[in-house]
Parts: sequence; C-alpha cells; structure tokens
Amino acid sequence: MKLNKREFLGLAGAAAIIPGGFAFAQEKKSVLRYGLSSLPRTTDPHFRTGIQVRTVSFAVYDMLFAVNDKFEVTPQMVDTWTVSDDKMTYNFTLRDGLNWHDDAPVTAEDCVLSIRRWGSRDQVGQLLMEATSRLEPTSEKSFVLELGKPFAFVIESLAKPGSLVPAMMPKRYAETPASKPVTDLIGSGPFKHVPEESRDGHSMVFVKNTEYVPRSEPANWASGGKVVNFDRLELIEIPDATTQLNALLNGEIDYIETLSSDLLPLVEARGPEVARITNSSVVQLVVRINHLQPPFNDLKVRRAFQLAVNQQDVVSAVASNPAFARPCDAVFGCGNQYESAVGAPIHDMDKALALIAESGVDLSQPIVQLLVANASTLTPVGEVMADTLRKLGFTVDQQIVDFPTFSSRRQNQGPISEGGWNIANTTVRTVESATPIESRAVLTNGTDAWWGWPEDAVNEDLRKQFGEEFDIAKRKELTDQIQARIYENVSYMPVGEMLSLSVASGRLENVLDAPTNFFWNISIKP
Amino acid sequence: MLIRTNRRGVEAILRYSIQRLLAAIPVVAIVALIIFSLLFLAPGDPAALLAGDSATPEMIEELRVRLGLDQSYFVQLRIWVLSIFRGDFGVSIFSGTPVLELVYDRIEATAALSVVTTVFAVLFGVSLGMIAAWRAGGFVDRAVLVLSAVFFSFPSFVIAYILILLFAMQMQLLPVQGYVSFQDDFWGFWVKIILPCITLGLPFLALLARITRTTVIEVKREDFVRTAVAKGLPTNQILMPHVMKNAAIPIVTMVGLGVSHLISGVVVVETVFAIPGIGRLVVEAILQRDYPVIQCVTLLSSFVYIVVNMVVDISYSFFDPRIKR
Repeated sequence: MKLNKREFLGLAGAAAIIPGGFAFAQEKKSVLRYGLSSLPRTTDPHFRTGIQVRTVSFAVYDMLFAVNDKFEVTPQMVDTWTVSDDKMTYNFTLRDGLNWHDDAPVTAEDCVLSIRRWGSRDQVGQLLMEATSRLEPTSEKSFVLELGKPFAFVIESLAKPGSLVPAMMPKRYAETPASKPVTDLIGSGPFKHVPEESRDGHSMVFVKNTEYVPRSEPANWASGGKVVNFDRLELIEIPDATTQLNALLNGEIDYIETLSSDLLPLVEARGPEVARITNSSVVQLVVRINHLQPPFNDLKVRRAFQLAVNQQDVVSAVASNPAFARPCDAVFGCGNQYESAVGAPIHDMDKALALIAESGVDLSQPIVQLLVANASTLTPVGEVMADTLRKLGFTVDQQIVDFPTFSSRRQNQGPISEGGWNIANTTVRTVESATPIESRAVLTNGTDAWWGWPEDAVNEDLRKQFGEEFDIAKRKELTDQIQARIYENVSYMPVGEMLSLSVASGRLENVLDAPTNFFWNISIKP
Repeated sequence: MLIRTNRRGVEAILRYSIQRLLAAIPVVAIVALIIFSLLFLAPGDPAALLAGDSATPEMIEELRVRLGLDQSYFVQLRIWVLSIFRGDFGVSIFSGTPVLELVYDRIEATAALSVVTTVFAVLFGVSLGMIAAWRAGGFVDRAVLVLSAVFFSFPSFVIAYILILLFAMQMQLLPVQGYVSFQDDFWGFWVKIILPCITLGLPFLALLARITRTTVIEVKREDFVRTAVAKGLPTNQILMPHVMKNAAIPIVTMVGLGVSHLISGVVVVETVFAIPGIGRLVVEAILQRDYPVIQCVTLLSSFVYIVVNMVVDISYSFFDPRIKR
C-alpha cells in the first residue's frame, strides 16, 4: 500500500500524540541501579583490593573456578580438569562457548597469562607461582600446570572469593606488567561495560552480556549459573549514606552496597516490601602491634596488652546495634570453615597489670599510636585501644592522621624518633583472610611480614604445612594450631567483627546472600 | 560624541582587563608553587595507596619510580611546570585518565550548579532586600530579617536534608539525588538541580537580602531620593534608576564574594545530592593524594577567583562612571 503525503503526515501525527506512539515496538529495558559510596577509580582485578573493585570484577570477568557458600570449589570457566596421582600435575580444559566481550574466543593462552599476572601480585597467587614449575597452553582450549614443590591449594587459589580476584582477561591485557593497572574492562563475564555511557564520579554502566553461556548448576555465590534477568546495570556513586538510603526508599535506586548502622531502624520501619537486608560481608577488627620497637618487642608486654583488651568494649564502641558488630575470637573469621576459639585470651585486667609489673617496662615512655581520624570503624577501635593502654599505666601519644598518611607511615619499621610507631589498627575482610595462606594478618616472617612485622618460625612452619595439606580434617587441626600460636606470640590482635549490610528494594527477588554483591540470579518485579 | 565616549570607555575596560589578567600571572604562578610545595611536603604516599594492602615494599617502590615520585623536588617541579606550558596537566595517578579530561567531565555540573544558584540568590535576595528596605520597619521587613538570619545560620547539609525530607520523601515531587546534563535531558536537569540550588543558594540569598536592605535604606536617606519623592515620581522610577544604581556597588561586591564562596561551599552540596562536580573530585583527590588532579583543580579555582574579582571590578564602572577614569 502506498501512502500519499497527507496520509503519511496524518499517521505520523497520530503516532506522535498517542502515548507510546512508535515506541510500542521497542521492548522496555529493565534496569538495576546499584548505589555505592564510591566508584572504583582503578578497576584492574589483579591490581587493587577493595569491595568496589571486587564487585565490578565479578560482574565483568569470569574465573576458572569458584567457591560456594560452603567454601566448596566448583569449576566455572573450566569444563574438565585432572590431577596426577602425585598431585603435582594439573590439566585443565576450558568449556565451550566462552568469548571475550570483544567477541574473540577465550583461549588457554589468555588464561595462562592471566594466572601469571595475578600470581605476580596476589599473596596466594605468589605462593602458587613459587610452587609452579610449568604453566603453559597445550592446545587452544587446554593448559597444564606442573608443580615443582607440593602445594595443596592449586584449585582453591584459582577459586579465591576475595581480592585480588583471579580474573581471566584477554592476552593483550594479561601481558600488561602487574605494576601498571589495566584501564579497560574487557572480560568474559555476564556483564559488559559500556564506557561511553559511564561518567566519572557519577555512574558506571553495564549491559547484560547476551553471548554469555551460564553453567547449568544453580547459582551459589560466584559458582554455578550466572543467569542475568535484566538488561542493564548502573552503578551509581552516592557518597552520602543517608542519601543512598533515601534514594532507595524513594525508588531511585534498587540496591545499596553498605547500610550505615544508624540507618537500620529506617529500613526496618518501612518493612520488607519496601526495603530489606539481603546480604552481609564481615570485616575483622585488627590491632597491629609493632614487634620491632620497645615496649612491644617484649612478649610479656604484648601479652599484658592482649589480656587487658575487652572485645565487648570494642564492639560497643563500633556500633551500638549488635546486628553490626560482634565479639569474635576466631582468627580466620566467625562463621568461616576454620572458626575456632582455641588459644583465645580471656579478658583479665589484674593479670595484665601483674604482667606489666613483672616485665619491668618503662611506663614513662609514651606509646605512639597511629589513629586514623574520621573513620567510622577505625577511630573508635583506636580510642578503645588507647584507653586500654592508659589503664595499664602507659601514656599514649595519639598521632591523628588521615588514611593516606596512615598507609604511608605504618610501613616505617624505624624507631619512634624516626617517625616509627607502636600500635595501629585496621580492618580485613574475613572472606579475604579465611585461611592461613590468604590472611596477611597471620604472616609472621619478621620484616617481610605485614606491618607490625611479627616473627614466629613455628607459625611459619605450620603455615607451610597447611599449604601442603590436602586432608580437610588435618587442615582444621593446623589452623587451630596456627591460631593458638598467633595468640601465644600475640602476633596481632583480632578484637571483634563488624558486619557490613547490603539493602535491596522490595522490587528485587532472589538476591544471593554472599560476601560480595553479585548481580546474577536477581529478578526485578515489574 | 556619545560614540566616541563609549569607545573610549570600552577601550579603558579592555585595557584594564588585560592589565588585570597580566597581573594575575604572577599570582597564579605563586599559587602554583605553593600548591606544589605543600603537596610535596604533605605526608602520605600515593604509590602506597595505589598499590594497596597486598603490595610488598618492592612493588610500592616500583610504582613510585614509574610515577616519578622518587625524583627530587626541583626535578618534579621542572617537569610539572614544563608540562603546564605544553598544556599538559598530567594523568590521574589512580584512574590513569588525563586530568583535563577528568576536570572537563566534572566542570559542567559545578558550573551549572553555581550559575543557577547565583541567579536564584541574586534574583530573590536583591528583590527581598529592596522590598524590605522600601517597607523598612514593617511586617515584610521584619519577616525578611528573621528569615535571612535563619537561612544564613543553618549549615548547608541541614538545609539539604530538610528539603529532601519535604520535597522528595514526603511530597515525592523531586528526586533525592543525581545530576543530568541539560544537553541530555533539559527537563530532567531542572528537576534535579532545584534542591541543590536552593540548598546552596539560601545562605547566599539571605546575605544579599540583608546587604541590599541596608544599602537601599542608606541611599533612601540621600537628598536626591527625597527630591525625587517630592517631585512625585512613581516608586518604580525612584527605586530602579536612582536608588538601585547608587546602591549597586556594595551589592555587586557581595555577589562577587558570594560566588567565590560558592566554589568552596559546593563540596557539601555535591556530596549530599551525589552531583559529580569539581568539589567532589578535588576532595577525593586529596584523600588519595592524587597530586596531578589537586594541582590542576586548585590552579583552576585560583584562576576563577581572579576572573570573578576582575568582572566585579569592571562592573563597578557601569554603576559609577567616575571609576572609568
């Protein structure tokens, strides 16, 4: 049928004034808007730790293996894999249908280079690379990993649920030196980054990767089928915690990364049909003691300090609501597979004071504390520590610093007169410190250890044994022994746990209860 | 004759502007040197921050070398100055994006917020001040005085939360947060900018209302105004050409100062309303010791201060022809 000019204009006019007009043919896109305090400035999963980097990494990249909520390892990009009888040779074959977001197929060479890059920076990856004698592709889709010395955590390493994420990336990015962050976001995961629609300081936009072939198993944490049920994901930077929640309650966003503890009553008051807590991640509150400088180079003084600390005081200072903070003696995290109370000290101020007297420590020398100002978690923990030291008779020189200064000064191993320090505190995510090979806090190799630089050869030997142990029951025994050593030597002090709660709007269903906010499996109610 | 006078006037203004801009060069240079030196002396290591918790001391040192942070003060200063002369403000340490690109992405939001706020504050502040002065001692005058005291006393974030509670959460008329460029969505821009502008503008408006009121009351007492009233001129003819022209200089000065204060006050509003502006960019950069970004934004801010002051100075000549000479 041919339309004359008058008929054409009439139809066009009608289409313009009828709501929906020509648009009826276009399917309405479903969008999930996720509010977070800060967008990651560096998105390289092999370069930066941090919850935001991890969130983006899991959305864009895929991993060879993944763990579920029971810390069981399941294959993800890998289809089949074999281990030799002596457990020294691993052969991996990738599954079909894996493509990078630029449509190139995922090859074994890409994966080998990605493992090498990740392994040059990540603590667990470094252990894997130290043990590896051969890692190379054997075909387009297969590669081999041969160990030169025993290492029991090959598969667990590649399934690591925390940062640095062992993400697979295309060869051209995997060849980038590990000291230089990759700035493009090209992976093979369920979401594709759309840089032209993203805006610095405001939003990062992703669309569903329609080429992604999910596994057939049900989703459980990062393992199983990563089925995406909406078209577009927008990460929106909202620095203010109150504004984040207001935006969620007002329907402007659907999901927020972290709820401030004082705002929980507002969520509870609205009811689950408006907003509800969906998942949480846990951080361990950590006190680091400088083992290189007096007075904490004296074991008696360290033990006295440990006995004087009352975890209940710490968690009460961090959050008045017990939903957000709890005492926890487990070095590898409460609720994790290696949870234990072995060796944990029982708060006893009298014993602590007796030990101080016995040690003969010079109480006139002030304890230099590095205290991060205006940090909602770090500052109150630091104040409780200072108070505890004062009760022991010390004077405390609280040196208030911002986080960048703290990050720099805590590396100083020198004496106090040269800018050194005695105590400081921080946090570590328990998902990233759930085993003796992942946790930086339990390293006790002296000046090569994490800041605080504890030294304990027995503990290092136990950690080595753990790295070579395949038997689950024996691993548990070893973690108990390691925990006992940590407390005996007072290598560091875990002083409680804080929970970071995520909130979703009532529109979202099937949100995974995981320590990282995953966007697959979620469906949005119309 | 008139044309010649106008041309002379324009030439004088141009000459004055060029002189002021030339005089600004050493000011900007000194500001740049101070910023650079302060950042060099400031504690904190961007390499340690960028490398993260998992980095070894060797990794941090490697990064420091790659970023040029291991160089001496004078070498770093020379590299920076030469780069600026080439129009290169460097690359953000954290995002790897050229700093000018970052600033370009953010400047629109801050500029839009500042301009709309200034227009809102000047329009309503000056009008309210004039009305209050004309009705001095009456109910309107007292109401303006009380309200301006209240608006001036409230911190911006309190005003922001009250406005969000009323207009976004209770009435659901406006969004809680966000920003959209007017080029992308003209209507959306206005809907999202209203609450931030009112938040930022209310203290400014209050200040202008009080200054206008005081100045207009003073001018009202002058003989020429009394004469105009005695001659029977209508109020609008007395107010606009006679009173306002004579009261303008203190008001314009206050507008200039207010605009300068907006540049610093914008950080809180950008944070509460999640507006991706320059204020938030520089705060994030300071917290991360992203030196190139801090240096560029601070230089830009000092330049804006100079330009605003220059515009205010030039505007004096429009209200008082004696200043042209």
